[in-house]
Parts: sequence; structure tokens; C-alpha cells
Amino acid sequence: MSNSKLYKGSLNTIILKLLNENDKMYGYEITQKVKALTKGELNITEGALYPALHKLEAEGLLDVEVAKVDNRLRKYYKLTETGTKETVNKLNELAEYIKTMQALVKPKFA
Amino acid sequence: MKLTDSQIEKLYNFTQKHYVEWYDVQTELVDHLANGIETQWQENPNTSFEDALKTEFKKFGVMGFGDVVEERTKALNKTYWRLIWKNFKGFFKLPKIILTLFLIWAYYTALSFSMQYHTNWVVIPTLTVLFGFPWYFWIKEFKRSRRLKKQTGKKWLFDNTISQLGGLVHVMNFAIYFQVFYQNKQVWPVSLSVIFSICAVLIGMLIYIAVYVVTPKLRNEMAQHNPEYNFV
Repeated sequence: MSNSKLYKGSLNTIILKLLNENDKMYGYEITQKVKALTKGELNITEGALYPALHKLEAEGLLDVEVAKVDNRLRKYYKLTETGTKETVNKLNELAEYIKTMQALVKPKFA
Repeated sequence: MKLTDSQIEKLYNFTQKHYVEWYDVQTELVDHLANGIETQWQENPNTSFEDALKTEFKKFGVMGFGDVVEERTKALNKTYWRLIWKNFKGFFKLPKIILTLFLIWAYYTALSFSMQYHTNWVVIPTLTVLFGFPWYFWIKEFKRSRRLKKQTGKKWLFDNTISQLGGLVHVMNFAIYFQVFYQNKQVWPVSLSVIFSICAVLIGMLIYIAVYVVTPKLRNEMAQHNPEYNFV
């Protein structure tokens, strides 16, 4: 991710969340979807995306499928059963993290 | 505007020139570059193919495709070992654990028997098989890959991982240190015989799982998921 190192730790969660909502996606589609959802605020770099996808695949969280689209082959990623369960955990972790950070950054004084 | 077949071919050559020799890795990169170029053409149809490609490649950063290949290799090894470990654990649960214990006992008995006669009749064939077989497998797979490359023009990183048994082949280089056994014809203490028997059986099981369980399973999965990998 080029625009902030803060997002780096959340890349896997972002990928899992998108795949949870979209059944199957390919690499380029993920970069574009993130760009659109964040209105260009977050830009996932190619050099970070593919290693992350391959790692999630190796961990058994993603399954792959190659299909011919137009005149070329396209590799699609989709969540495995374990991946779907892990998405819930990761999202909870991220929510907790955001809550903690908010408490630190904007402490509520009684 | 869509890319033509010859432009797709150019993209494959481009990845090859940038040190991606594996077809399975090239395919994903080619599709990514092609999508990027087509998006650029939507915004600016006058951009040349070459310029659009340059812009897309820059997005991969200073390391180019290097990180992608490196991480893909690591990920494939990880997948491979995850499957081996899953199957290996199965040999320590009922009912297979009975077979594991029986093999260790049988091997220990044979080893002790040969020791009584101060011979290496059990140790030498064991080491030869345990360390020789992975190399035999690697050579066989290497020849297969070379033949496929000649026939189809493609080399698969996936096949490379399988042929090296996920790196196990290199571990087997330690065989050289075992030459001590070839010279030592003394009777071993019971503890050494037990440890040797356990190690021999476990390494044997590991090689068996890698070659006869995980390799065909991964090849079948690959063939199911990838229409181009149609030579299982």
C-alpha cells in the first residue's frame, strides 16, 4: 500500500472481507474495488497484493480457480470454509483494534 | 478496447524478460498487466501499448516481479508442507498409529539382528533408500518438466516445488554425514538403535507421503483448477 503503512497490517482482513462479499475475485479487481470503495483514498500496490493473496492461499484460507476470460487466463480467488470463519475473527480483531485506537487518540474524559 | 492475442503474447515475453520463468506465475501477472492497460485505454485511448505497459509495471515497485515470485515460491512450499503435516499427523492417530509402531518395532528387530552379527546389512540399504530415493524422484521429475517444456513451452513453479519435495531434497544432502555408519561395525547401544529406528521409519513415512499422497493430490487439484494444466 503506497499511501500509508498503517493500512499494511489490515491488508489480509481487507482481502478476506471483499471476498466474503463478492464470492470470487481476481487480483486486479480487488485493487480497483478498494480504490472505488475508499474513493481513491486507499491504493493497494501490486507488490503487496499478490504476496498477500498467495500467503492466504497457502494458509488454506483461499481457494483458486483459473478460467479463460476473453483471450487470456484469469486466476480467481474465493474463500474456503476456513477462510470464511477466519474472516469473522479478523473483522472482530480489526474492530477491537479500531476501538482501542479511538480510545487512545480521542480519550473521553468523564 | 481489448488487448489482442499478440499483445497478450508480448506480455508473457515481458514477464519472462523480467525474470519470471514460471508459466503459472506469468499467467496471473499477464492478466493483471492486461487489465491495467485496458483501464488506461478507457481513460486515454491514445496511449500506446508500450507506454501503458511501462506505467503498469512501475506499479510493482523497484523490485518489479521479484517479490511476487519469491512470495509465490514460499507460499507453494507452505501449502506443500501443510498437506504433508496433515497426512503425517494421521500416522499418529488410531488406527494408523498401530502401523507406525509396528514398523518401528519391526525395523528395530531387524536392526538388532544385524547388529548381533556385526553387519550393516540393515543400515546401509536404509540410508541408500532414504537418501537415494528423493534424488531419484527429483531426477525423474526434472526430466518430466524438461519434456513438458519442450512439448508445451511452459515451465510450472508448481511442478518445481513438487520435484524438490518442498525442499526435502536439499535436506537429504546431510546423507554425507552418515558415512560414519558405513565404517562403524560396532554393536550400537539400545538407545541409538531405538532412535535410529524411529528416525528411519518417520523419514520413510515423510518421503512416502510426499511422493505418493501429496504429489498426486496437488496435481489433481491443479488440473481441476487450471484448464492449462491438462497433463496429469
